[in-house]
Amino acid sequence: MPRLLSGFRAKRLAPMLGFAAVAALCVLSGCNGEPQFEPNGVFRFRVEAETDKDQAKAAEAVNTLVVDWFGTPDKPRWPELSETVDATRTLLQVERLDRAAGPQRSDREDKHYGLYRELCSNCHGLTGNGRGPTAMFLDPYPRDFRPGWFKYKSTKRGSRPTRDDLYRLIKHGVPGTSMPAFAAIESHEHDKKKNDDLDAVVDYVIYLSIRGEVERLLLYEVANDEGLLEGVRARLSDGGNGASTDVKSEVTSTEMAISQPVVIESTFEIKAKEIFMDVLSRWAGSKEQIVAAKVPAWWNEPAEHAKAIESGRAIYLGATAACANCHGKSGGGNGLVRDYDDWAKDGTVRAGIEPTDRTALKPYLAAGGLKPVPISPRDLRLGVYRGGSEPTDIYRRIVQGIEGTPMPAVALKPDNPQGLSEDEVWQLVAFILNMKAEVGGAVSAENDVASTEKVEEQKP
Amino acid sequence: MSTTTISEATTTYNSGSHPWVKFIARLLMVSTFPLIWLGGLVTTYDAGMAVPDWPGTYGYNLFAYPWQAWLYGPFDLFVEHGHRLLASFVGLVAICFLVATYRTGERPIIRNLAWMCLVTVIFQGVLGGARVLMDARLVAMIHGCLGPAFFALCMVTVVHCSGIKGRSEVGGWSRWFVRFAVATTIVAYLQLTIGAQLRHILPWASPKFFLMMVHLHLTFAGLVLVSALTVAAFGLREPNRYLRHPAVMLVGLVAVQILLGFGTWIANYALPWSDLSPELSAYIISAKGYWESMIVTAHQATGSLIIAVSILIATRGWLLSGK
Repeated sequence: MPRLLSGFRAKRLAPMLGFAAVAALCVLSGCNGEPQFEPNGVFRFRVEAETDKDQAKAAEAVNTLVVDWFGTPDKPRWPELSETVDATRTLLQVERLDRAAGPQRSDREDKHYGLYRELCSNCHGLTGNGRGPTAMFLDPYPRDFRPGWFKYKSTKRGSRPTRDDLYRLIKHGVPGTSMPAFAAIESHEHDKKKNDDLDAVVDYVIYLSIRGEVERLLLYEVANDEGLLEGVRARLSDGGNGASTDVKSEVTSTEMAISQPVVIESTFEIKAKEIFMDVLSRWAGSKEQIVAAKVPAWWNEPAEHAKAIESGRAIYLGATAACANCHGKSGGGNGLVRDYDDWAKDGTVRAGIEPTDRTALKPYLAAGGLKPVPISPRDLRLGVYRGGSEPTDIYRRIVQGIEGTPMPAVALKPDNPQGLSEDEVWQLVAFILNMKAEVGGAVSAENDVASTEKVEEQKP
Repeated sequence: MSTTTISEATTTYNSGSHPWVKFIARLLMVSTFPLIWLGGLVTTYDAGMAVPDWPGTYGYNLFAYPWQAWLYGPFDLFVEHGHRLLASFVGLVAICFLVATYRTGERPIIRNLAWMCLVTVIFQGVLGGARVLMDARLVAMIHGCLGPAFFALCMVTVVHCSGIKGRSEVGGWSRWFVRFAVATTIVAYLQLTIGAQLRHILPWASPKFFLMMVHLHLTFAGLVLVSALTVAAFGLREPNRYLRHPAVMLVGLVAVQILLGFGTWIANYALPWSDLSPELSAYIISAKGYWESMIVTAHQATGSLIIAVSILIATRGWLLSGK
C-alpha cells in the first residue's frame, strides 16, 4: 500500500475530482425534475374491471383536469369557485398549503416549509396514496388519503374527520404503529403562539384527500357515463388544454396565488365541479357530524364502576355486541374473523379479485397496489388503543365502528330494539378499559387457544 | 506506547513522522469524527436547508455570522451552521497538515496523503455547498458517503505518521488477516452507502426500491459481522497488541452497531411485532425526539467508526508485515 501510494501523485487528484464533481452534479441536477402527483392506478384498475373496458382516455382526461385544478406537489392550487368560498374558508387556509408543499427548508425564524415532505411523504407518499418508499414494511400500511376514509375520528362513520381529529392524531401519533407523534414539531419557532406547522400539515392532508377523492369519483363517473365521455374526447382532442388554457392565463396574472379560478364549460367540468363541491361540503360540515359522548355520572363511583365492568363483561360475550367473535373471549384479538380493510379490498375484492390469489393479484400490484394483508382485531388486553384511550374514544369506536375496517358499529336503541342502550355501551367501555388489569385469567388462555385453532381452520 | 517502543521507532527512517505532523494528523482525524456526528444530525433533523446560501450564512461571511444568533437561534440553524464551522476547522487543519509535512521534510507517502486529505476535504466542502445551492438530496447522500471515506483516509494517514513499521516484532499476523481487514473495510463502506440510500430516500422512490435497499443493507450487515468476526479470530491469536486490540474493538463496534440498527428501525418505524409486550406495543415514536435522533445518528456515526477501525487494522497489518 505505501508503495502504491508513494507512486501516486495525489496532486493529480484535484482536477480529476473536480471533473468528477461537475459531471456528477450535472447528471444529478437532471434527475431532479419537478415531481408530479401519481395518477390513481389502483382505482383505474378497479373501474376497468367493473366496466370491462380500457379507461386510458378517461384516466388521462381526469388527470389533466386534476392537475389543472390542484397543481403539483411543488405548486399546489386550489380550485376557486364562487359557490365554495365559504366552505373553503371554514375548512382550511388555502395560502398555508404553500407551507406544507414543495421541498423541505426552514428559515431564520425556524419557520418550516415543505412540511409534508419533511414529515409525511416517506410513508404516505407524495400523492398521499399511502405508498411512500417505506410503505411495504409498515403494518398497517400508511393511510391512503384519497378515498377520504379515516379510521380514528370523533365523527360518524362515513363522515370526514374534523380538523381537530387530524391534528390530535398527527400530534400524538398512533401507539403500536409506525405513525409517530409530531408533538416536537410544535416547538418550531421561538414564539410558540406563531407556530402553525401542524395546522399546515392538516391543511395539506385535507387538500390531498379532497384532490384524491375528486380524482376517484370523477374517474368513476366518466367511466360509467357515455355523455361525459364525449366531453372527455373533446377535451383530449383539444390537447388537454380546453379548460386549462383559460386557467393558465389566470395563473400568469397571479402567478404565486394558490387559489385559482377554474373555467366550467363542458359537461365534464360541470360534473367535476359537482363532485368537488360535494366532497368539500362533506369536509366542511364534519363538525356537525361529531358523535356526542358524555361519560356517565357513575364512572367515578368505584362501586358502581365495578358493577358496570361485570355488566360490560356479559355484553362483551353476548350476541348483541358480539365483540368476542373477533376479539376473542379473552380480548386477545384472535377470534373467528379473517378479513381485509377497505383500502385492500378497494382494488381486489371490489375488482373481483381474491386477495389471496397471487396470480390474480399481479395486475393489481402492477397498478400500484400493495400486497393485501389481513387485518387483525385489536388485542384488547394490551390496553393500547390506536384511536385514543379516553373513555369517549372507546365509546365512539363502539357506536360508530372503525371506518374502512371490518369493525362494525354496534346496534343501538331506540333505532334497533334489540340493540344496546347508551348506558350498556358505557358498561362495555368500562369492561374493555379494565381488560388490561385482568390479564392472566386462566379462562382466557383456554378460550384463546380454541379461537386461534378456528382461525387456522378458516385459512384458505 | 512505552518509551522503549518510541525510542526503537526513531531508529529507522520510516519509524515515524515529526511530532507536530503526528499531532496535526491526529487532530485532523479526531476533529473529523464529531464533524460526521454533526453531519448526521443535520440529516436526522432535516436541517440541510436551514441555511439557504453558501458559502456564507444568511448573507454573512461564514465566520462573521453573529454567534448569539447561532447559539440562541433555531436548532436547525445551530446544527447546520455548526456543521459548516467545524468543517471549516477541519479544512484549516488539513491545510496546516500539508504545510507541516513540507516544512518538516516528510516522506513522499505522508505528503501525498496530506494532499489527498486536503483535496478530499475541499471536494467534500464543495459537495456540501452544491447540496444547499441545488437543494438536491442526492448530492446530500454523496456528501454523506464521502465523509466516512475522508475519516478513513485520516486514519490511514495517522497510522502512516505513527511509524509503526519500525516497531515490528514478528508475530502471528498473516496475509489473510490483512485481507480480511481490507474486506471488512470494503463491505462496511458498501453497507454504509446503502444505509445512506435509505436515509436520504426520495419521497417519490418506489416501495420496491426501498425494500431492495433494506434487504441489501441487512445482507451486508451479515457480511460485515462475519468479516469482523474472522478478523477478530485472527486478531485474538495475534501477539502484537497494535493488531489485537483494534481487532477486538472492531467486533465490539459491530455488536454495538447491530443494536443501534435495531434501535434505528424502532425509532423510525416502531416494532415489527407490536404485540410482543404491552410496554413495547404502547410505544409511540416521537418524531425528531431526542433519543430517537441520537440513536439514528449514532448508528450512522458508528458505521464510520467501523470503517476507520477496519482500515486501521488493515494498514497496521500491512505495515507490520514489512511490505
